[in-house]
Amino acid sequence: MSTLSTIVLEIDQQLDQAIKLEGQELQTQFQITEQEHFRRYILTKIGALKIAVPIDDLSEVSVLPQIKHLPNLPTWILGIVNLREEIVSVIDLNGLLALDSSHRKGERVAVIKNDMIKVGVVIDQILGTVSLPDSSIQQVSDETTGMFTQVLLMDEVEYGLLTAEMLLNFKKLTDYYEEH
Amino acid sequence: MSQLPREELADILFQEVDGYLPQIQTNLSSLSENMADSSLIGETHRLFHNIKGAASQVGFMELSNSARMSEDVLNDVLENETSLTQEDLTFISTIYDTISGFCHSPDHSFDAEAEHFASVLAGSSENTADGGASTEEVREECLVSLRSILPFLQELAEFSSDKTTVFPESIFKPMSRAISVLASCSKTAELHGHQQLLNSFLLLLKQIRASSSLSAAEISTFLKEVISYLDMVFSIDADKAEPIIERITERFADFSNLVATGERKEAKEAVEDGGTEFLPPENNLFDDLLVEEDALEVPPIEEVFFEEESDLDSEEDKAQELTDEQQELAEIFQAECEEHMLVIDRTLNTLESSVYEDRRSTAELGETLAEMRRAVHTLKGAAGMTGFIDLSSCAHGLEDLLDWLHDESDTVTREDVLIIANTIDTIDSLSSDMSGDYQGTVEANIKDVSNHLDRRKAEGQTEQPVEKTVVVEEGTGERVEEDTMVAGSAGNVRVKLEDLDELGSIEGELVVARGTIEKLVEQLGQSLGDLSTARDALGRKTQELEVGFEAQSLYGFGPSPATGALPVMEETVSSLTDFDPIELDRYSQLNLIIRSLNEISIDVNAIHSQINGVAREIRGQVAKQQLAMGVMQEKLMRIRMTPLSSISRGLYQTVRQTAAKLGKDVQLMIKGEDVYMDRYIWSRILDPMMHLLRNSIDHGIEDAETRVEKGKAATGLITVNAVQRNRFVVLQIIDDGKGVDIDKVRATLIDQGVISTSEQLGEEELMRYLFTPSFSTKDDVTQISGRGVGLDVVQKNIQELRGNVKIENRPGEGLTFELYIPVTLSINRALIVEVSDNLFAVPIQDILEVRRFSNAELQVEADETMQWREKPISFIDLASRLQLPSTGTEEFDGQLALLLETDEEYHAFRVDSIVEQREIVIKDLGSHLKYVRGVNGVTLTGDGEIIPILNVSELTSESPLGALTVASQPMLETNQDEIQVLIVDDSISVRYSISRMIEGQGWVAYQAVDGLDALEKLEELSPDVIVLDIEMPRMNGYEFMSSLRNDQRFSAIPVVMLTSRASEKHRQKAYDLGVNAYVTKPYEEDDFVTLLRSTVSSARE
Repeated sequence: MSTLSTIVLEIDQQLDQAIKLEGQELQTQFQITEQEHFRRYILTKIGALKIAVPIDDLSEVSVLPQIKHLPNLPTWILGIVNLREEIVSVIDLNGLLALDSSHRKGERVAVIKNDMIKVGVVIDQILGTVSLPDSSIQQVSDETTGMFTQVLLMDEVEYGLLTAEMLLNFKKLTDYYEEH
Repeated sequence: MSQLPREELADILFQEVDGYLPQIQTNLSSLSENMADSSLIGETHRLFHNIKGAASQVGFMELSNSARMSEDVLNDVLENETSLTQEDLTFISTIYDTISGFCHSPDHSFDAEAEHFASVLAGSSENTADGGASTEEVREECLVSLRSILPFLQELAEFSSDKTTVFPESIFKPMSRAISVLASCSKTAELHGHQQLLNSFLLLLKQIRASSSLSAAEISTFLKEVISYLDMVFSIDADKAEPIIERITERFADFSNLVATGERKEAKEAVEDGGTEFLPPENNLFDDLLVEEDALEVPPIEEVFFEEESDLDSEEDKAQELTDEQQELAEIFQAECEEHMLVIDRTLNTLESSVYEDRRSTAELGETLAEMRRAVHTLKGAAGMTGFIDLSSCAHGLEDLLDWLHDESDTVTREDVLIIANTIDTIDSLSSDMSGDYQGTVEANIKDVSNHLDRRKAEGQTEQPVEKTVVVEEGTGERVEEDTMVAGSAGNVRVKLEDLDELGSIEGELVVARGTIEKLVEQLGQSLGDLSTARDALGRKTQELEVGFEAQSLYGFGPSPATGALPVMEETVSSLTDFDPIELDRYSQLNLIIRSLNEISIDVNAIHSQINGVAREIRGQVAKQQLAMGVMQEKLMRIRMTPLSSISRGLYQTVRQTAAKLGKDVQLMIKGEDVYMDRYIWSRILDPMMHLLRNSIDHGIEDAETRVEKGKAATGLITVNAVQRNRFVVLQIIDDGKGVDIDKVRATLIDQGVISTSEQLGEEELMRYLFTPSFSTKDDVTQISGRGVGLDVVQKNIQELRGNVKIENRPGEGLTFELYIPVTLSINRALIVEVSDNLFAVPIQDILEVRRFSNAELQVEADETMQWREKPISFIDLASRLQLPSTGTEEFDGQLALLLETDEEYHAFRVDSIVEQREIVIKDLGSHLKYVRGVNGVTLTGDGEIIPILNVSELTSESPLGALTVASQPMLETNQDEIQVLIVDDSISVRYSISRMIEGQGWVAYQAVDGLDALEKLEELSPDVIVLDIEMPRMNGYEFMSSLRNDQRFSAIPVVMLTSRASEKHRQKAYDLGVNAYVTKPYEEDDFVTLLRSTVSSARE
């Protein structure tokens, strides 16, 4: 009995080896894709901001339904909308980041989601979608808003990278009711 | 294997084999003459080798095996450099014949193959036994074969997701084949134990296939286990494998039993569940002993393999991750645990509250103990069966103690209860976290319990043994049987919470759908009303026509009298021959028309009353539906509700642990354990409550000495009191500690610079600061309450439940927290009101009265404080509270308002209008907005519009920190964008097409049918621009223009004239009257919109 564990271990090793031999081709392929891991982004314009949102972080982009305003909310929360029976809050990103938000609001909404939260961001214009390797992300320091610490460079235009992780963990967004 | 279908592969194979066969035959006949011709032997060997390889590649294992056997024989001869014996040759020839026969047989299925080769393979052992292939090689081959089974298993596992109990043929066939090959291999290798094992596995497979009592998931789990064991068996030395094989064989037998008795067992399990649940407390442990034995008779498969697992585990890393199957089992067991823990918790609560000091056993106490023991016992059994040994032994220890307390001891001490509580805590943590390592805790705990038991026993012996007070009730056995009988119809069903939620939301949808029907019925009613008016009009007109015609005919046809009745009239007319026949004919035709008109009128009457009847019927049915849905909704809500007692153990535990940690003596008393609330709410409330309890013990309750000094009982007392008050459940947490030192709070706040020394804040205001983040009176920070959860978090949690927290401070005597939790129903009746063009829902139960306050009433109190039924009432404009632009406060007939009561204060909310009363389904505000002050949630109308549901109690109090002017900005902004247009035109299609165009711009359109109507509308509206036609009945455009410009109130409103009159004369007249623009139809939409916009903006400037 005492040797059982060692035997199991041996079998595992043998199996591993077999898998390695057989799966070599597969594995190398996999490695290549991993090296050049591409992500798809949607490029948008919100006021003066040019933003790239990973498509994986989006639940949908659609025409902005009529916003229902609610009282006692900070101005950058424009209200809530009904997206197919689901209530989603809609925010003005420029307002959230305390940037100039006097521009005319767009008519589309990009719903950014993680496992917990869905938030709609009003966007003015969709500039396109791109597929870019992770290597094209550049780290920058964003002292004005603290949001865009990563940018994508496309045709010499910088797009601030807006991921669900960054947006939905943004303290001001989640602690909205401490604002007043 | 390959992408080619099996048939094609087989064809290729047999073509290939067919190619080898003639050569083999030639070789064999040559060999029969010269048995030592090594080159022939070599070639034959090669040919058989090729067949072996090709056959195994395509999956014809039997064919491959028989070829291998020939190959082996020839190989031996070649290696040993001997010559073939006659026996060898015969054997090889037999194999050749068999292969050749199979090759040319039409049926190449695996079954046929197995059948075909059975005799050859069966006889193989004698030929190859003497060292054909070494044991090692066979084992290697076995392993290879075994692994080839794994994909099949994978397939089977996928099948399990279908929840089908069918053991698919496609898996069974190849699997049994693979195993029979393995068995024959083992036989060849003289591994008899292995062979037997495989044979019994084969048998079992057949049995499983024949039985239907197992689910595919169970089968796949079982098979995977078996394969992993086989894998192991074939990878160790034969002699070492023996004991394992024996054990696996035993398991097979068990499993086989299980399969055979599967259905019986299921039935029994149901009995077990239902039985224990429904036993009244006075039933004794004999009941569950009976049940227990039943259950043990047929150990479920999980036990079998978990014991195995735990054996292995004990030699391996304890913290090894749980496998998927274990995880699944753990979940099932956890669910069961929960049930038992409920009973255990309840009884523990009773013990905790009744044994606050050492006391003698009473019958009541005995019952509690017996009930707890029964639950612990069942839990122990279940844990043992599922392999959670720690839990089982922990429960065992506890059971011993309970046994003794119940059966022998005549006293129950506080220490007993503490020990019991501690053990239950351990059991609880074990059951909620199966993978955690609690061995140390468990051992310590078991030791504690047994030590304590020994000590108590020793004490007990010095005392007089007392007769047991609790007597086993007679006929308990019979009762068990009774329970068993009814379990099917009266048992409990465990339902997933999410299923329940889904049901709830379906119910919600139904309610919305019914709401739409109600609306439609209402519309139908209105249309019926219109129809009725039209019908009356028709009747009247017909009569008028009739009378008119008569009069006319009298007048026109001279003295000839008309008697009134039509047939007579006709006669009269027909007799007047001196009139033009055409004229005469036409009149009689008219006469007929009048008659048929009369008939139509009567028909319409009948249809109208028919539709009316149907509408009434529909209304009745809808009302009935509404009633039934109400009941259903209530039932659904009830199902989700659990009593306070479901969380009270957590509270006891917190108090016990915190008190122990701080070395304080604190007693918790819970009242109102039967107050029910939604499970979700309890779960959300537990944390804040535990925090408040910790707070009370840490900051409130003094140490024993101080307490005695102050003349209080040495043991601190915290009372948790739950009561239902109207729509709220109020949870009071009352301690008898020192309360809050207001001066200290004030000093701290001044210290922190939150308030200035000059500020004279009342106690209530100061207490409010306790709820601000990071507030703490410095010397109070300890480990207990310094866990990063402050009172602010408590308040936040409660707020998210739309509740409220209140503090009542009694300096020196204690502190009371009151948590107000609204018992909201997911469906509610609400009044839909309109405020500044926005719809809001106000729950009907919040409203005392809807009332129109006359101007006189409003003017009595200039500062907006008035009397209502001799109570002071504050008059609030709801629009301002909702940061909406206030509209029309100067109505002629006073103000419409909702009367509400919050905290015994009366408020009147001014609203613009009441739209309707209806049922609403409450939805939350989405995943992001957890809490919005003044809004409880939203409801959706049938067409998807969002209506916020107001939280009036929050709206009555002024926002605590005011400064909400910023928030109203977006409203102003949109308001500026928005243009209100009054369209005055007598053509309905013109009105509607312009309206649509205007609404398409996000503006608001109002309609008036003529000048007079427009003037009336203007009394209520203040449009930004008027679109005006010229020719209209009653009052035309020119007339309207002149009265508009003459009225001071409206003279500034810009007017765009839209007409088909293109002449300069018309245009000039319009401009003379003061229109701002003159547009002739047809017009360009875009241009028209631009014109409207510019007209409005220049007017605004």
